[in-house]
Amino acid sequence: MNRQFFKIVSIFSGLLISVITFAQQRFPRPDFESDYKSPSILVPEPRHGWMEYMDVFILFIVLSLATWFVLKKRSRKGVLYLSLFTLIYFGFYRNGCICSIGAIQNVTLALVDPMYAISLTALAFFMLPLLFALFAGRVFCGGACPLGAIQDLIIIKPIELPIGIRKALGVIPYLYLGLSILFAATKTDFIICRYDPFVGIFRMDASFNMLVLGGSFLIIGMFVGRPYCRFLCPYGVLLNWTSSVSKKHLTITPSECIDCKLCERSCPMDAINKPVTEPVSRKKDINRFVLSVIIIPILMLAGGYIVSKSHVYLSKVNRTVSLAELLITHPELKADPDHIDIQTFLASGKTMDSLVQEATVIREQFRIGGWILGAFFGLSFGIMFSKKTIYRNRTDYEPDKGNCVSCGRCMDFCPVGKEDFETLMKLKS
Amino acid sequence: MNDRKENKAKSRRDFLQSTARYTLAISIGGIGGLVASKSKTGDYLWQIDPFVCTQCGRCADECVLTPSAVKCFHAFDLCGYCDLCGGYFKPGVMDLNTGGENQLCPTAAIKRNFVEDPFFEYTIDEDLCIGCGKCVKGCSSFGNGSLHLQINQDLCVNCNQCAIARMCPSDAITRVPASNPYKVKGDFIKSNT
Amino acid sequence: MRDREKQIFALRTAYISGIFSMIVCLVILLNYRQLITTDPLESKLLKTMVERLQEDTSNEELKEEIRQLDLMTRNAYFTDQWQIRSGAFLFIGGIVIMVIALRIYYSLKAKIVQPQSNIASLDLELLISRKWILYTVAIIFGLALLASYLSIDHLSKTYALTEVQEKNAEIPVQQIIPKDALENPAVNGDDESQNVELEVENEATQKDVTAQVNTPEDGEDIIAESAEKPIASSPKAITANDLKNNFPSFRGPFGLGIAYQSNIPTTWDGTSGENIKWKVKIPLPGFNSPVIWDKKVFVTGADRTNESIYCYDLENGKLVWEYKVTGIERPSGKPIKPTEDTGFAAPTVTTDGEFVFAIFATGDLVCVDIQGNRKWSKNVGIPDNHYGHSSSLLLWKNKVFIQFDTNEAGKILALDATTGNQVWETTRTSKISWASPILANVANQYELILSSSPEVAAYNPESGKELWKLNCLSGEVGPSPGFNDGIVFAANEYAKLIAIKPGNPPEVLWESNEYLPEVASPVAINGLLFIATSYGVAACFDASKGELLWEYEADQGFYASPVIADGKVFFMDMDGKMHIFSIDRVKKVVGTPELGEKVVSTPAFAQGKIMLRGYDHLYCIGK
Repeated sequence: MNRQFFKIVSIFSGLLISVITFAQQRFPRPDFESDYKSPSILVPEPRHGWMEYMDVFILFIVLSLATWFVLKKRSRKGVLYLSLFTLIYFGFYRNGCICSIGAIQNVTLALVDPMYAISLTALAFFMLPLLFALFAGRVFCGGACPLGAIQDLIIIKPIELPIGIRKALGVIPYLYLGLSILFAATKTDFIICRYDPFVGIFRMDASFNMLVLGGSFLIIGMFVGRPYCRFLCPYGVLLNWTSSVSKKHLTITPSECIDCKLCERSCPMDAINKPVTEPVSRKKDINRFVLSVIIIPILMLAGGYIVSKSHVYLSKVNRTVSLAELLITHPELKADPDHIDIQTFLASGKTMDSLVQEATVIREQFRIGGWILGAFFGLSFGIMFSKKTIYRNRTDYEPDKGNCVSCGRCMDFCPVGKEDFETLMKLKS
Repeated sequence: MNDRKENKAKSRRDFLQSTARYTLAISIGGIGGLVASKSKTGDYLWQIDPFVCTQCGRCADECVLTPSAVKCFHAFDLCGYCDLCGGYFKPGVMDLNTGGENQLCPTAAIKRNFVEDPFFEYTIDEDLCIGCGKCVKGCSSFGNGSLHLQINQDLCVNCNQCAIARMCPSDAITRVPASNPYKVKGDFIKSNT
Repeated sequence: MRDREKQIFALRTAYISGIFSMIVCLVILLNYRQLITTDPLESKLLKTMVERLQEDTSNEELKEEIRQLDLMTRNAYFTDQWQIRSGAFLFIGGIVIMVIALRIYYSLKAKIVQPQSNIASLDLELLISRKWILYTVAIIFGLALLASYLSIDHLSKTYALTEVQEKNAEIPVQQIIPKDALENPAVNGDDESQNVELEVENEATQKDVTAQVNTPEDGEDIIAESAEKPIASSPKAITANDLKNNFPSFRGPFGLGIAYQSNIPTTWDGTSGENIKWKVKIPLPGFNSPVIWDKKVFVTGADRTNESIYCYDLENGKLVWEYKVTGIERPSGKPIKPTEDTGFAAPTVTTDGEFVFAIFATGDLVCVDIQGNRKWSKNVGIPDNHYGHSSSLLLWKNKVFIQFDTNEAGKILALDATTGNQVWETTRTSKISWASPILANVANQYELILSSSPEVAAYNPESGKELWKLNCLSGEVGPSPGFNDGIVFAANEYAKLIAIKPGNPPEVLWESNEYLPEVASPVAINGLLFIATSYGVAACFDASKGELLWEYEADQGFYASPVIADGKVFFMDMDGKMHIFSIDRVKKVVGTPELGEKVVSTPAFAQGKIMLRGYDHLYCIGK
């Protein structure tokens, strides 16, 4: 009643001791008459563990150097060479992995699931840039991020984006951050790593779609400064927050701003705030501000409600959920021998009930996560909005502390303190 | 008068900023401390459990590297050294020779060496292996299952989220401690879970 | 002026490197597309050529062609990858040069721009910012709302609904699909008294029956009736004669390969329809063999998701009922992955004329009554079997025997036919096997005999106690044992053919390795033993001495087991050609009728008819 294919060629020669772990070995290992010795199985060693710690050390050094170049040395050249090193080391040598941006997901998962083992390297990569940003601004973006470095180096002729587009696109990183945290917390996917447009370039190997994506980011990046950093990077959101309250920050001018307007067009990121000396109708502004702040809790509630409503849709990204739904809606696919996921599930002997049970649990997690995520959206959008209801008078050209990535370009444009400028001033006086 | 007002506003702003700064610093530190104390820490790598693997063939396509970091490993201790090897020959093969029409491996990465009558040794040329698992399927269906897929840790770039693990239909790819990076058959005992 | 020259040079460099990179990029993309669309390693042409070769093995030219194509595809794969990789380096190099050149160009070109005197109104700027933030947020929330209204929660809605429907459907009627008017369904209501009557009747007519049944030759022993006493508790005790009047299990009564039937046709033709009484297509695939009781024929069919038992009318081939197996809770375990040539329904059913028992590769075991109503069902455990479970069931004295030799362990179990509860279970020292159990009457005592690797073993069917065993086989054992005249025959390809005299210890009468079967089971009668090999040899041995009496070569191999009926032995080859021989010490071919469809199932014989199951159809052959 059984089948042909296999024919037993091995002949039982004497008693054989079966291998302990394999009581069921079908064809016992032969007793060789010749002095044949089987080769041992080769297991190539992974990269040494200490090299991971070396990465942390190098990150720390690069961050410190960047801080020094930006705050003390005021050297654009220094930052440029540092970012070149970062591109080569963290980018092309370390293949863009490990990176701080992706580490958000590791930290999230570790917070949610105590069984998830996080590597200390990932934790350090998550925390170090944020701490530096608290005291020195986004020096990480300027000097230590390989994604930032590759974009910074290809900026050729940046154009100034209209304010409306900038603000509209600026909402996306919040969305991306929220979704990536939701997907990481539900163990669905690490979307930051999956849709990293540059990691394929670092590895010189990627799927076709990702290569096209990376290529288009680079082409756009020649004319729009750092498109990924500004309009996608989820870690940029966190850095934006921390950097806004940083103790020290890059300044355009070493001493007094002379309002020469030379630096005005120097920033490819459009992150220089111009002086404002308009007459202010304080009262109207403050009223508007208070009103927008009051709206925030309502926005949070609305956001929570709406996003939790869409949890059904969001959870379809999860593989277990999508498999369960596929099996429910298309039971005829069970007969499709080429559908690997369905066939593997059927062969596993797991019942449909337990799969649906599992999927339902995940979907419930999405529902709860949807509330939190929506509230977060409401909060951040509300703050973003209310920030735009009020302004302060400014006399100088200043970098926008949240958005500035400390690349140092503007410093080169400032004539104050430059040798030839000093002599010129002297001559004038 | 105006100046004093300005100064007052400035110091208020400074105060608020530093409060926010230290709150953020404490919360970042708090998150770090919580993570470090609450969950397990350590270095982990991705690896395939050969007893869970169903040889669907995705390892060849889904890895971020081309060719895949997944390779076929051969546990010689478990091999039956069969003449008619289910991992080497296509099903229904007529002549047991190394002709292209008989070989199962699409890249001819398995070498068949004569040992003594009627036994043959099968070795894997890792440079040619693309990790498709065709031979593994053949060997585990009709033989001892001594051929099995493993992630070559020398090649693996240890992505944050392994692209194959995400697509693996049987969830055979999990993170293993870096101190014990392989689940090579023979050394590694099937877990009952 | 020098700056101007530099500027022009930088611009030209940028142009050249840019165009170069574009060309390289285009080439890479084309190459990439080609590699994806025509994956050389999955060449369809190569596949079809190999298939052609397997049909036409002697075609050396084709072989050579395949080898060359194989080499070519592999070369193509690796050179394509090399090209893409080196192309990528060239591309990146070109881009780097272009970026550097452009940067130099622009830095030289850069002029100090006249600062714009009029600063745009900040108020306006803030207004625009607020507006755009608001728009974007509205779009995002709008999309989220849209998504939430467009997506249906199939988990809680659709699944819950279908579940309820299925359960509702299951409770009142057990999914019977009646195709024909059923006879009075109340028959199994009044049992006890009727059974006793039946029993008496059987006892009385026993002699007539044996006289009526044309046993192949008179030397054939009659299984002694004394061994069986009807058990009061069983709903209906069947006798050996009931079994012999029918064809109740795989390889007939007791699984011995002997049909006690007469008036069996020896000529037919599947293409012209000669002597083909009817032919129907069985909806689901299966390699199990038909079983006959009275006027009913039972087969099963299954695929990955469906399992069915079919009951056909022996007279006209109408589907009397179909029972679809549902609602069996399966334990999670090893994946069930039967190979294509074993399938999900390899084991044959067994029946006692009142209930039909069926098992599938999933370990699902079902008992339905003769009208197709479920009596009980359970999962006996998912068989860890790399080809698929294929051992058939055997029924005797209200017990269903299951030879459950899997990769995990070997065991034999007996279940109560009425309730499905386990009566006994005996763990065996055997490895996995695909053979089916037989019942042999050894010195007026029934012994349940199993063949497997490495042992042939006998068990007491009442208690499950091991009576004797002999380590003599190896490999993957498919053939079931044969038994006649007090001798047990067991065989397997690459092992040996052995004749054993049962007893403790068993005695080896003779051994041979001239012709060994791979799938088909040995069958013996009147001192003659018949073997059918998978490479197409039918052989006859002297059962007591092991001497080869004759051999016969068919064009095709044998998977179906030979069966003895009406004084002849029937060998069905894989092409559907039946090779019929007289039971004789010299080779006498009675006929070689053809069915015209591939066959691996063992034929069944009853009421002057032969039931044959091809790959797709069920045939009834009769005069």
